[in-house]
Amino acid sequence: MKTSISCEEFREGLDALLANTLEAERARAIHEHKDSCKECSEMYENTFDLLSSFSALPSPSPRPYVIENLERSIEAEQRSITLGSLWSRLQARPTYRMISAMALGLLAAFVTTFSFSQVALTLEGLTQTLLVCALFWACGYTGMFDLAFRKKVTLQARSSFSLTRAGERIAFPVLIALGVATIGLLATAPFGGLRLIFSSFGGFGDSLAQPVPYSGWFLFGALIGSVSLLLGVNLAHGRTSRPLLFDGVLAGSLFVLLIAPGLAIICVPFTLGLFFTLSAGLIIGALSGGILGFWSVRFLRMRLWRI
Amino acid sequence: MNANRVIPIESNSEAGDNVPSDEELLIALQGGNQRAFEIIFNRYQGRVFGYLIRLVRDQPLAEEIFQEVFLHLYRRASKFDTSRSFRSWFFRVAHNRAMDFLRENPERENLELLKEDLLESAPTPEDLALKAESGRDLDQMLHLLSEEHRSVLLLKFKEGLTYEEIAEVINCPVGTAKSRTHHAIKNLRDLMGKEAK
Repeated sequence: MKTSISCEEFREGLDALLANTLEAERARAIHEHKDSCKECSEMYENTFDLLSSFSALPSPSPRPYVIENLERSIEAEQRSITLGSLWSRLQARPTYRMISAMALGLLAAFVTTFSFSQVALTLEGLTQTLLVCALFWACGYTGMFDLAFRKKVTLQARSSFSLTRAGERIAFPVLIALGVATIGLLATAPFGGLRLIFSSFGGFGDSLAQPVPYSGWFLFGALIGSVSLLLGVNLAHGRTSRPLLFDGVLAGSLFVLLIAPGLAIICVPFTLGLFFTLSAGLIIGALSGGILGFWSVRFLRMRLWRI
Repeated sequence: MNANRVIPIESNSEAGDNVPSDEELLIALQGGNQRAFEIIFNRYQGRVFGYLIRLVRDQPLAEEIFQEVFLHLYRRASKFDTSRSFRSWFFRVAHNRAMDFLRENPERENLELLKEDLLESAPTPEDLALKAESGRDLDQMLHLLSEEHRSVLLLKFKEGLTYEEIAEVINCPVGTAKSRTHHAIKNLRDLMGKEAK
């Protein structure tokens, strides 16, 4: 029987067919030829059987002493608690990160009350404010990571994971240092520490209400949210474009949720209006930062990096 | 005869719904769970060692690289991005270590050639082709292929990796992984075909 391809063409296409990389039309022609030509059919069967026998290849084990050596090496790794390994272990443990993030949140609230008690739109005041917001940012990201990690909410974790890991690399040393500082602050409470904290609430509301209007706080929140998300999304530029947008938006939302208790602490002695204004600014800023980050990364990948 | 026959591939994981995936085990290992490392070790020790010994063709060397690869996993687990394919990452580590060693030890080339001479002088490819059904004889045929071809065939038909994963393991574009597989099959088929002439 005459078929659409010759024996030579069959041999050329056979390897691609068995490698499963041949388009359907050509695969059909190969099969047609195989069914009509005894010699080519034999060749197909022999090659097919040969490749099938790969799965029957034994999976040998190394000699027992190799596994014993490996076990000893791993035990030695576990014992050698250097500063570096302790550090990486702390980073690897969700519980520790969670505790340090909570400690940071607490401390951030304390620092905020002190900072804002004297702040107006001065360079010093804005520097303090930026510091506090950066701390909240670190707290939010660390907490978000733990949420995803523990609940196995994958967040389609691709870039969130990197985003958070990149954030963590910066935030983690700060978290630990501030966690220790918080414990120190609380430990001194019976000797006057707490009195000092609460006394600062009095000046807090007054200073906020007068010099900075609500619109200023809205813009400020938007700025912080967008810059943090813009940086975060760009740090994760190595991923596919779709999750970046998703993650940017999701991270922005979670970020605000996680810092909401902190914001509440700041705003309790003041007004709910300020709280909502600042929150709205942060949400808008985070979302716009995520979207802006997504488009800028997409542009860079496609136009400049050609990937 | 069924035209859509599929080449059987060794199962990638144990059967059952409750068996944790590689990535889940990595997450557990990142959290300090030592049991997760044991499960990964049991799951991959035969596969990785089989791949290494077929690639470098030297048992002590394969064992040395094997230890390095699992130690690397233990040390670097916390850095692994669990959204990626673990097996391609792990095979890539093994592949790179093996290739590095082969590159750094050019004297091994002579050993390779010597071994090939021995192989050719004892059972010829024609002899081997006659016995290609058994895994042992297939192993001997694989020895006659280049390392590049050996690795793609093992990754594709023994380990069941996708072309994307193979490309990641051997660090090349997906198209190259595919064409290399075609050529490897052709070479293997040629070895088998010599017998018929």
